[in-house]
Parts: sequence; structure tokens; C-alpha cells
Amino acid sequence: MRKGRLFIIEPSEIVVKGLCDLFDNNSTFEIIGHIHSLRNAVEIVNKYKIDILLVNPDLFGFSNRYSIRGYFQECKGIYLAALTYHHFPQQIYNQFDTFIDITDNRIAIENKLTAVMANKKGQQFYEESTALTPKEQEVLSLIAKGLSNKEIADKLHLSIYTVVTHKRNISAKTDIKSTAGLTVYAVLHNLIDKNEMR
Amino acid sequence: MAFFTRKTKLSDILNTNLQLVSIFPRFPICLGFGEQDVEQYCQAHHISTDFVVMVCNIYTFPHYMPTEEEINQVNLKETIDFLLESHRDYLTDKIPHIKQHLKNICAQYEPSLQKAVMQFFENYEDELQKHFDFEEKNIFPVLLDGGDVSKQALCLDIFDQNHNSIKEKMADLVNIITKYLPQHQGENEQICILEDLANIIADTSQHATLENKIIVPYIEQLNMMGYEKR
Repeated sequence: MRKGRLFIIEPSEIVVKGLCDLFDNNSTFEIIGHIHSLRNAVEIVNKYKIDILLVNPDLFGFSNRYSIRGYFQECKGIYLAALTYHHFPQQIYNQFDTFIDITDNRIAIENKLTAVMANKKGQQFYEESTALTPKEQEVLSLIAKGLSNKEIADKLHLSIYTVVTHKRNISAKTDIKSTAGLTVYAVLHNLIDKNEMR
Repeated sequence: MAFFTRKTKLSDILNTNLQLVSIFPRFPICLGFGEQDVEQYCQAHHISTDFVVMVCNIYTFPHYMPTEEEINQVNLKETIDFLLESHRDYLTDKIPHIKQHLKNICAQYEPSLQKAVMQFFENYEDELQKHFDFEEKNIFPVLLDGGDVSKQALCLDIFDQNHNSIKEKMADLVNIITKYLPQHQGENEQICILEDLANIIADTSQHATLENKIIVPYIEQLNMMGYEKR
């Protein structure tokens, strides 16, 4: 099986060296080139035969970071992976096929890249839709009724950890973090009976 | 751009940052100051010049950080009076104003939605009130009489948590209004409330910054002294 070919656009030499070290001879991926800035990036990338392009979204600055996909539109047949040191808004992640965080270990990185090559969506991050899943709707309706994490976990036969994860995903999708705010959302979307509000 | 100094004209300060016009009454500085600079006005009205300069800088320049020396020069009572005045302004003027807008917007909705939105807002009001109470009862008095230092390390955490939670609720409200609430007949009311929210978010976040840049270093200094004594 041929190795997956990676190209890196990343300002930090330390990070690039680190990645080169990770993708050594034993890896299923190889790094075929890297640059440290966006200067002539599209032309340079097009010279190589690349599978996945790793890009640090910070290179695009605050105002251009929502048009990263468009920037690379001429690089046909290449998957885009974000290389991140910190959290970005959901819309930034949506532009990428996957993301690698600075804290990911070798196995996580290889798994994410392999999933992309197999054209699978490995992480919830790539969900284009912000619609809540049926389970999330169920959790949300119980949050709106004023139940605690523990009560929700007992009622739905889930672990508290799973409930917290659902809550986090609900907040990420709706952009609403507080319980009272989520209740408003639940009422607006008919997820709760009028008489059930505490 | 250079920071404001004692010799900056009050009118130049407002020309640089018009948002300060709602902060001036808290010193109190009244409009109609003509060509006076900060020092001239403050001396005539028995207000601390250094404090006004520092607050205007904190509210205007995000990267401004008062030096330890400047913090030590500030009269703590004056800082606390200013913060109390800000609290009063939020609770008796800014927040009720926003609440009235929200009521007007909600009037056309069915009762359950009205109830949920207003409950959300009252929840926020409660939290704000509780946070102010916490500061006014647990932090300010201790600072004023330089009391038990050991408990204050704990205070700083609560301080921070409260600020974050309050900020989060305001962001939630903006998202609910912009993304989810049904269209109001004539969007005017919604635009008004969003403008008010933008103002109060900026104001309260600078209020928190002021606390972080003056009160928190002050408590930290007290803590350091406490440790040295032990």
C-alpha cells in the first residue's frame, strides 16, 4: 500500500520538525514538503502530488479565516486538514476535512488522517448540519425541564459523562451555553410541553 | 496611540472613545467641561485625577496595564465607590431598560415562550445581583479594612467564575435574539435591544477588566504580604 502524502503549511519550525519526526519510516504517511507561510502556497502545493494538506488556520488571520476552503479551491483532489494550537469557531472547522490538534498523539493523528483518506468523517466536527440528533433533542428536553445531569443520566440509562458530552455538543450546535438559554431554545423548537417547565 | 494623561483634555478623551460618556457620571464628571483637561476638572471638583486617567485608559486601550506603582497610588475607596456606582447604574438603569425591550418583543409571542424568555432574563438579573452582592459584602469591605487575607485567594476564583458565567448568559441572549426568536413585526425593537446589549456587554466586560487590573492585583499584593508575614 502506498503511503499517504502530506504537505504542511505551518509557521512554527518546531511543529514542522515534530511532525516530520512523527511520520517516520514506520508511518503510513510521509511528508513530502512544507512551507512556513502562505506566500505562493497554491502554486507550490500544485507542483506536488498531495493527498492531504495540513494548514494552520491562524495563518489566515482573523478576517480571512472563513475563506480558507476558497483559497485552496484550485488545489483539486486534495483533502484539507487544520493544524490547530487552540479552539476555533465551528465554522472554521467546517471548512476542513479533519483537524489535528497540537495535543493529539501519533495514534490519534494517524487515525484521523486515515479516516479522511478513506473519505470517512471521523469526528463530529465535520458535521455540516447543526441540527440536533434525536438523542440530543431528548437530552435537551430534560435539561429544559430542569433535571440535573444525574437525573438525566438515570432517566436515559446513560453515564453522566455521556450526558455532559451531549450537553457540550448541544451548546456547540446551538451557540447557547446556559441552561435557561437552552430552555428558551427547547420551547421555540417544541421540544418541551408547555406545562412541564419548572 | 498614546495613553491619556493628566494633561489630556476631557473633550479629547470623549472624541477618542465616545463610549466613556456613559462612564463619566460615575466619577462624577458632568458634560459642559469646555477646554479643561483632566487635572483641571478633577482638582476643581475634588476627584482623583490619577484614578480618572487610569479608568479612561483601561476602558479605551485593551493593552493598557497600570503599573504596580500606579495601582498603589489609587485610593481604594475611590475605586470601590466607582464600582458601586457602576453596579447601581446597571441595576437601576441599563438592565431595566433592556428588560423593557425584551418585554415589548415578547408581547407578541405565545405565553410559554414569553415565560421562558423572561425567566431566562430574570435568571440573569438574579445572577448579576448575587454577584454584585458577593463583591459588595465579601470583597470590598475586606479590602477597605485590610482584613483577613487568607480567605481572599478563594474569592478570586469565585470572582472569575461569576464574570464568565454572566458574560456567557449575555452571549446566549444575543444568539437567541439573532438566531432563534421569531421575526418581530418591524425589526426596530430587536435592533434596539441588540444595540443596548452590545453596549452593556462592552461596559460590563470593561468593568470586569477594571476589577481584574486594579482589585485583583491589589488582593494578590495583600496575599503576598500575608505569606511573607507567615
